[in-house]
Amino acid sequence: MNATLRYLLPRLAWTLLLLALLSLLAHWSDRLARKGNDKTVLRAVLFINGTLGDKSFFDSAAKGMRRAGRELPVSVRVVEGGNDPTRWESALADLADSGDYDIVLAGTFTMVPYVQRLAGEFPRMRFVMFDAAVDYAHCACGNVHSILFRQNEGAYLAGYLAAMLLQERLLPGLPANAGLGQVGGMQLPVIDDYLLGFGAGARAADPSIRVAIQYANGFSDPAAGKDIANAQMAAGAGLIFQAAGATGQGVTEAASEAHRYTIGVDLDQYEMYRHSNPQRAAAIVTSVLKNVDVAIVQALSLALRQQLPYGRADSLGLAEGGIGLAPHSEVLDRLPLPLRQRLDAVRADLVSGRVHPPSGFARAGTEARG
Amino acid sequence: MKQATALPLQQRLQRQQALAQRLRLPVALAAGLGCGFLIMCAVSSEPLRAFLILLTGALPRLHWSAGEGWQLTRLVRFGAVIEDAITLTLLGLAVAIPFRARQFSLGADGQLFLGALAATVVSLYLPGPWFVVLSLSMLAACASGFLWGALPGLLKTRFQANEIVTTLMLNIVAVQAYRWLVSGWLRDPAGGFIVTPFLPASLQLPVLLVHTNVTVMLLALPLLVWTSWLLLMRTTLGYEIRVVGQSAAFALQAGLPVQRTVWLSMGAGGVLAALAGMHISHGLLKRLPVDLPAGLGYEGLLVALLARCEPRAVPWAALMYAYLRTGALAMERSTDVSREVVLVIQALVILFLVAERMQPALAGGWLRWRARRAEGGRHDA
Repeated sequence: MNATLRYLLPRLAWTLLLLALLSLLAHWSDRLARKGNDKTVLRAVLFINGTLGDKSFFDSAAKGMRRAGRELPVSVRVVEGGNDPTRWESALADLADSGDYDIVLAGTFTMVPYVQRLAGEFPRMRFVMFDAAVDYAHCACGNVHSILFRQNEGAYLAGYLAAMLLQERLLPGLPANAGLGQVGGMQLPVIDDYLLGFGAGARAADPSIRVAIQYANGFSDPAAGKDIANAQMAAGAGLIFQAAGATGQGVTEAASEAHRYTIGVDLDQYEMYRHSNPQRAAAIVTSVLKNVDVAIVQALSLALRQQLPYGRADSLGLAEGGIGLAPHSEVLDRLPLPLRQRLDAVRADLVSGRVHPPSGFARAGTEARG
Repeated sequence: MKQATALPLQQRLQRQQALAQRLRLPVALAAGLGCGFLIMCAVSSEPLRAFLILLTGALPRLHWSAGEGWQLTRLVRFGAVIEDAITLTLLGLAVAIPFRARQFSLGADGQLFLGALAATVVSLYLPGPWFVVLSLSMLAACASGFLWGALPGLLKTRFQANEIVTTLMLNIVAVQAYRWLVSGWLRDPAGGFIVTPFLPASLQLPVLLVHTNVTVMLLALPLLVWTSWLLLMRTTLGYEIRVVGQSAAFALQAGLPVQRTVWLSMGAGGVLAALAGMHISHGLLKRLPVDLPAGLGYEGLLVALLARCEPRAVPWAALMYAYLRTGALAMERSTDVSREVVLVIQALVILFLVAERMQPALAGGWLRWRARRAEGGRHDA
């Protein structure tokens, strides 16, 4: 006992002394921070449960934040939570608790339970949940605005385009009778929404077309994406649609190396690779845009005007501009006029609601459609 | 005066070692943070502020205001330090115990995954009052951790399979089994992503600090550290572990049960890693996502090395590491220093701490310089 105390007490004393010293330092550094001028009306922070650089979902969200910071009187910050889920909740709670921000944005279904809990615990904070909705019936979420995307509409259009291109043999270098492939990040409702929409669109254009589907079980594993894409191409896929975050970069790489084609997701990936990697860009037919950036800028500007409908989920699709197809690529720019008109007709059908693509949410039985 | 240089060699070495021992931590910290500061000067427009936030960002703040008296704010962030330190302490102990027997067990990762999985399965599927289910969950976690830890030990003692290789391979098996079970049998269809259902509220570990996930695991921690220390220093098994670790050949000559000691030490480490898994499943996440990243166990390795495999030092090393990590996150959040730079600085600090060889050399150099100066002074006089 005595030995334990002799071991413990000096160390405890040293720790306390150190903490006291650091506390003094902390006060000094806080005072240093407060000198900054403040013209902003709203302080927004985007929490990313992963890292930037996926060239799709998270990068798009960060782009929206940057644009909001430039165009609106909003101070913005993007916080990367990293890939360790055990630290996400505490990091998000810290953002809500720190008092440095007025509004916290977070995306994906993973974050829903955390936002639900924090919304109740910090009723004066504001939250924006994108690409997922909190369960308003079962939480005190009067301070949360949710944004959902009807990505199946955009994917339907992309599937239609892909099948049409194969049918008309407009993609040079493909074997005869090539089929389609799809790579999903994980089997989640959001991803299924893409894949089901794409398959339905493809079959609408060509009922006999073959569509292979595989999930990579991860959004940050380009090597797995490349493997799956190579396997699908070996089985005859000429064009692969990927909805797999950073994993999808492997799909794009595999397709461009095999001189086949791919359709990207979330951000305009052709535009991203056009200058940096023209060979890879040539393989990208288009991208199903999920305009997370547009939605975020819109939400923040509404929040500035105190008009953001908290306590409610909004759903954005083709009609609202939340979803779309990237307009340019080497393939699309060569698209003959009659085909372009066919595509526009399908788009009009989707916007007017004459065509209802199948949804991945219906299958999962969640009431996420707000 | 003459003795300053003519000290017996042994005495000089002892002084050198004592000095190095005392200076080890401060010098390493100062060197690591100094290098970090230089990097920050290169990348940041406000390096001083960023540096101060790295040092103090994780601390709670004590405020005084006339209306409300003394107030402690930012406890949430300090809660994150404690959450992290609990995981790291358990993992550090899990690595330290086999290391004392000179077994380089890298299996903490797999044991953690299996422990979390076993505890979750029991909690989800076993009916009964909470205290029974919770203790059975803990037992299940400990048992699976012990088995998964003892297995490479047995493979080593029976078949001379190198434990570094077997533990790494068994990690892969455990992680993939975990992913298979979570994405198939345990999956919550309404979860929105691949994840098990939430544990019943009564089975989640009680929270001690509001808004955080600092649970009763914090109270169990001193007990576990003390038990590990007792195991190593005050039991026959612990004596055997230490002797085997210092010289297996000697232990064999002395008639100690070397083989049993080896696999028992690895099993004991496995129990602690599994408890870390339970802290993650029942304390932090309350459910298990399929993409729980492999690699948490290697942080335990780091903590154990920082603590030089001394169980009583592990919590302090874990606390320091967690403190730096959270401070680094805070710096990333409130300054223009980016995540990559933060990671580099963190790695530098650790590098300096672990690089022990450097400091005896430094201390030796300093002593020599002092002796030379003393000599020079004498010549002048």
